[in-house]
Amino acid sequence: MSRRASGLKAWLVQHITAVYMLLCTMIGAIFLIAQQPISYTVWKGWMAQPLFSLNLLLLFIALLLHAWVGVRNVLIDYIKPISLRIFLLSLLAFGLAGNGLWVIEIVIRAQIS
Amino acid sequence: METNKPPVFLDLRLIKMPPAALASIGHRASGIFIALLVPFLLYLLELSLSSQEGFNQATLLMESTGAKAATILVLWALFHHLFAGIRFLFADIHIGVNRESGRLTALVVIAAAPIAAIIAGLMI
Repeated sequence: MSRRASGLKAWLVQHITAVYMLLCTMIGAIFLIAQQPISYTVWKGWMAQPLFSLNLLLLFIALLLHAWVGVRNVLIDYIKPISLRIFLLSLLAFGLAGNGLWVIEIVIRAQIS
Repeated sequence: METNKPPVFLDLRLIKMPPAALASIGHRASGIFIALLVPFLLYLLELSLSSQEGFNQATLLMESTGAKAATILVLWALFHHLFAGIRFLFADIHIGVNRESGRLTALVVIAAAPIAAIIAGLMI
């Protein structure tokens, strides 16, 4: 991923995910403000709607991709020793991938329960 | 490949930072901070969906006094990242790239983020 996502591709990923997350948070904020206070029933009801939960899933996937490119850039800029850099990049990749699986599990479970 | 190397002078202790640099480094710092928070966000999401009891626990966690201060801090990072990010997006389409407007928008970003964080934090 690191090689393929370098340069223009990384820039594109960063911008597409940024704009998508920006739209999602703005719409999400309007939802939250309109529905205050939010009860458990309302919250579960939102999550049961495919459009809502799919966007929530995509939002987190976008966040994880965005974090991958962003943190990767910071690590490449500031961590000079190559072994430490590779170690931290792997740690980041595993951490983000784990979080990705976790959010998939959360969303699927909200659909079936 | 040698021509493609990024700039090498990045010693943060020796660089004097004008507003644009401060907004930019703040964008990076807040980004790292938010990335580290993702597992906690997922934990809250899972808890809030687990049961009525879990939902109450999650809201209680958000409403405690310590959490309120932490929430405002998190919102500050989030808003700074958001505003500075929007500033970068505008820079991509060549808006606000000259010295004066770049400096002005950087100052706006730096000042607006904590204000927005406090307002949003008190609304929750």
